[in-house]
Amino acid sequence: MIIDAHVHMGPGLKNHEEACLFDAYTADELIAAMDAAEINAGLVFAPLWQGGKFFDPSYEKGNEAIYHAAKKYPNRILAYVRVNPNFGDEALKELKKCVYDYKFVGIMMHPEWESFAANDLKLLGPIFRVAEERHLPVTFHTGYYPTCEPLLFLTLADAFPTVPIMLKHLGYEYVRDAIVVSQLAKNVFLETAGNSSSADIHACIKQAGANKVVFGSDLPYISPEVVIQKIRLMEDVSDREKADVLGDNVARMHNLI
Amino acid sequence: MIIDTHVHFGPALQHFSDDIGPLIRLHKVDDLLRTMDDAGIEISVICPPRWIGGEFFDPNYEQANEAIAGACKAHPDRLIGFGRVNPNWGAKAVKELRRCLGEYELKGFKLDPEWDSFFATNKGLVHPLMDLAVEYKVPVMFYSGYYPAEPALLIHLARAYSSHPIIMGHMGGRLTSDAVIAAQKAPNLILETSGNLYSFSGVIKGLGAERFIFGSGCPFEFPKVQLEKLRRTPHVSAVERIQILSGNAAALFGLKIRPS
Repeated sequence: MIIDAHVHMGPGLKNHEEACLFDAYTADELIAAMDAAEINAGLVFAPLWQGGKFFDPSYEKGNEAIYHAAKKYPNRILAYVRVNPNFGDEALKELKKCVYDYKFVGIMMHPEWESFAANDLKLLGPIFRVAEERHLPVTFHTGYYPTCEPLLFLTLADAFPTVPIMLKHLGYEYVRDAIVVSQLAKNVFLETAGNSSSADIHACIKQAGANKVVFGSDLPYISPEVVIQKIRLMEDVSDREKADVLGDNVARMHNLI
Repeated sequence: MIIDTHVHFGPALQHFSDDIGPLIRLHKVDDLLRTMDDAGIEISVICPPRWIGGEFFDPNYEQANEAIAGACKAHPDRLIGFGRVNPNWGAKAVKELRRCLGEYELKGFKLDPEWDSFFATNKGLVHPLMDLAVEYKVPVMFYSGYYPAEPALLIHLARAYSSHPIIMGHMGGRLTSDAVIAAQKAPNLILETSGNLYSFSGVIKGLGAERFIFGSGCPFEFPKVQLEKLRRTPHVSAVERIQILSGNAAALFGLKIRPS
């Protein structure tokens, strides 16, 4: 079973069409792309909102599109709600609507784009308390100072030890830091995204453990097949470990297996 | 035909002590040829990997260069050799580079500002090496990425040697926008495609396919993956693909290529 832990879908993609390798505006388009790559299911969330004609700073429209997509393909599309925590009560309201009414199964946030620090417990506390209560994994963009270098997530992981936290992009250039954080915190998982080199993914599997690394592509900005191939070609990683990375770890997170 | 312009080979790979290491075992030249065959790569440009200390002591890349020369002598039809020196070694670096280009007849060399800790803008260290490139009429590859190896620092160097080809290895790493701007400012900069860019379409359209050469970064990346990424890049014509995969590199190294 292949589960892609990093999938974007929805009308927000129209704002950066030029960066997309294929269409994923609608659920049908997304499912076609997943079928082509033999991906069974995806953790799906709204792409970043970057102005333009489509106005959706609080991701309400983006979340709405995911809700309808997941309703149409409940076994294929695992809906993750995206919020901008700087919106405060409004963000919490949107989160609760998606979690309690729409039954979303996870949360996605982007500290760099939405401009908040990943160790800001005051800002993220209310959101994480919902995650804790409903057993929802939270997946974050990671990367650079001052918002989302890997070490900042250790504070969150320690404060909410029962909430699985996925670090997207393996910390970008800070892959070594991401490995350390995953080694120190049981609940921190490393998500490959499309940018990670095969050597970086390999190092994460060997040092953090195959049970801590999850495949994610960042489609439609990249062909997921390329990322899957990086993992499949590794000669000293067992089939069992590859299965964990390619889908089983996320399946366990969501009680699918 | 496919020419892979960025492959690491040599004894440092057998003693690689860093914890982000090679993915493919390339200890012997046969390992290398098998990997190339497996990915459908006919010719590889091989250069020494980073020397990272440990049991194997080779800070100025002398043993590494000798190994490159040996491999290329044994397989002149498949391998093109690049030397490597640490510019901080000054006169010793110049001497070793002259051995590479003269005695060993290597076809170019690679410098790595990030690992070997120098700035491409440091004329005192870098120009004597560039002058050797001009003397022997061979291209030079610079590793590029973050500080102190960012693309901006290659602009003055490329302008100072404006009729000489300078390859930007990994095309700026994640600083793709910087790589494109630098390439616009200096027409003799050639972008080598390995790295972790999501899609090449925009940059190829923006700069023109003649500015790119295919490279994998093997054995720290699978050549097959890099080829697949290029294959899946939309809006690249068949002619552009051939230019990037072999045509531009063949012209750079004066190779005659048979039509494929």
